Amino acid sequence: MNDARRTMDKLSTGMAGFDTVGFGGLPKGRATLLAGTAGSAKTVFAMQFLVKGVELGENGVFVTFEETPADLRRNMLSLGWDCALLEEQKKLAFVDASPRPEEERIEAGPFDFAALVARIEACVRRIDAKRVVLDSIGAMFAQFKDPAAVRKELYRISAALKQMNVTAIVTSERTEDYGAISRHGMEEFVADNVVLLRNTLDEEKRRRTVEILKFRGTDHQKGEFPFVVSDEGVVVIPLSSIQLRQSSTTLRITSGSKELDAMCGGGFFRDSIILCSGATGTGKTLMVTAFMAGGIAKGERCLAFCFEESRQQFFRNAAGWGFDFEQLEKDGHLKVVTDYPEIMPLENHLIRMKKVIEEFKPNRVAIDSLSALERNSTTRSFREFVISLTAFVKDQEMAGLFTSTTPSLLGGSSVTEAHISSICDSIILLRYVEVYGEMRRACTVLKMRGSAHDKEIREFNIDDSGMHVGKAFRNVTGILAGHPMQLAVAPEELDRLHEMFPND
Amino acid sequence: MTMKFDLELFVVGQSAKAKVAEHNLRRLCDARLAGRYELRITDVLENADAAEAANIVATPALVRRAPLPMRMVVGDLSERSALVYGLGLESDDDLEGNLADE
Repeated sequence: MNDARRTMDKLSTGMAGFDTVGFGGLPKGRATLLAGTAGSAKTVFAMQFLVKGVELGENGVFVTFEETPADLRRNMLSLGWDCALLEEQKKLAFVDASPRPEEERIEAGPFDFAALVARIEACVRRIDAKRVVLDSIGAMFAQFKDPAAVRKELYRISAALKQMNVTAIVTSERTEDYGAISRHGMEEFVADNVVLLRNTLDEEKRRRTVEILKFRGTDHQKGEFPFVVSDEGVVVIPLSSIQLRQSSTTLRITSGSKELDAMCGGGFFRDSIILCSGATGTGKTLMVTAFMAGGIAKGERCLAFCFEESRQQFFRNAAGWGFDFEQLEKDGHLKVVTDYPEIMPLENHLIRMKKVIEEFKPNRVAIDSLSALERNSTTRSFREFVISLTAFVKDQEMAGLFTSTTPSLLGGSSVTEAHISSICDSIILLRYVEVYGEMRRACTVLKMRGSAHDKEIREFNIDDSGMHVGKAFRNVTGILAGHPMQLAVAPEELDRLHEMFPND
Repeated sequence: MTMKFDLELFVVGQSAKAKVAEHNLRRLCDARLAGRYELRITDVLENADAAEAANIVATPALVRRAPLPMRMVVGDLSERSALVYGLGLESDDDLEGNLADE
């Protein structure tokens, strides 16, 4: 199915991530059941559907069965949505069907919801609405005694919504995140389209996901997609949408070190992701510093996210190697963002980082380090984070240098690498080597996608002027495995061995 | 008793339920509140704003505006004891001869 046909029958929600998952949005002219447990952001999602609709020139009616319009106006203001203003402009209207506690309601015989339908219709007509939200219909069962009567009357509303030619979201409460779709058998009420919001605990971390269970007669992405509720409302992170569709370039950029460029066969590729792995103190931050400085020297814009050091520390280190990053940042060539990973969930970091990248529009992005971010996440959300971020960076045709800290000083790999090594285009390992009672550093290019590269494990020195790649450790083996051993082999033999396996 | 009853009955169009509700209401009021009540019938289709203001969801809906506090009785008002209770009148089960339960 081509994209045009997929999206023809959809109405853009105005929520970018969700539209991607829904192949264009929600089924147009129909009602969609939005079910979730308490606190799963149903109301925010529903209101955002209306507010974004207004931005797209489509007015909306919010029918509230639970909270009062006054409460909703107040709550939504914290997300920057001024309902009162939109109401004044006749772009948004509330139909208040919330219970009034001060008013006693007695049932004396059969009733119907024709009045509610009439009110919704009048409201839709009055502001020429194209979108309607019913939030949440489960509350109707608390207001009236006979569930069968309520269910029957909700059918009436469902039928009426179809007649009105509006696209509707009907929210409903669930008792658990994995189980019956909704209480009171509401899926029978709007059976065509069902979207589930989940708010689960995963390794002691809150994890919000959205899943399109079904869109009748039209396509959508399957499975759960993480989302966050940020200060702009619901932001869905559409993972599988980020296909490998980035154009690949043969354009090379400098790593900031001539010697390292040579090892990589002439530098990094412009839109590639480079992973730099090493134990603490092996020179990863220096590699980031050189990568930034190398870019700036060529007139590129560089952005660094530091999760291990403060700005001052990062600047001081750079100054030690002769780079005045503070001035470069003032001049707008560089931007350094430092944060504790713990200040917010990983999903929020992702949204924020994407936003900073979009605003600053750098040519190079560095993250120091991914391992620090991993501390604060579950295995699954970390993997999603890495996939989503690398795809985003590549999509913008930027180069990304991500560092990863290995847990052991000698050799070893980290969980971080297990998740990202296949996603990265290049991997550079920095390792400690013990040689005759002395700690030396080693550097090797493990992988360089699409290019020949140096296969040697070379000495890596750090001094006042930065990093220097030196000679190969010819007579040491077991560096990567973490137990280096000196070989007692004659130099001539080593030369002969070396010639047996020429580079490339 | 000199308390005045200000009543408003919300209906949607000329439905059968609407007619039954009005009939049931007038019969009770004429029996128990003769000369002490005022009844307005509001059609939601013609006056959605009034229904909005009174938060009418289910119809027929009887709103007792006076005496305060406001009360609402929904349904076709065929359940007489519920209507009597809803209007805030004293139970008249004895008069009706509904003693079967006791």
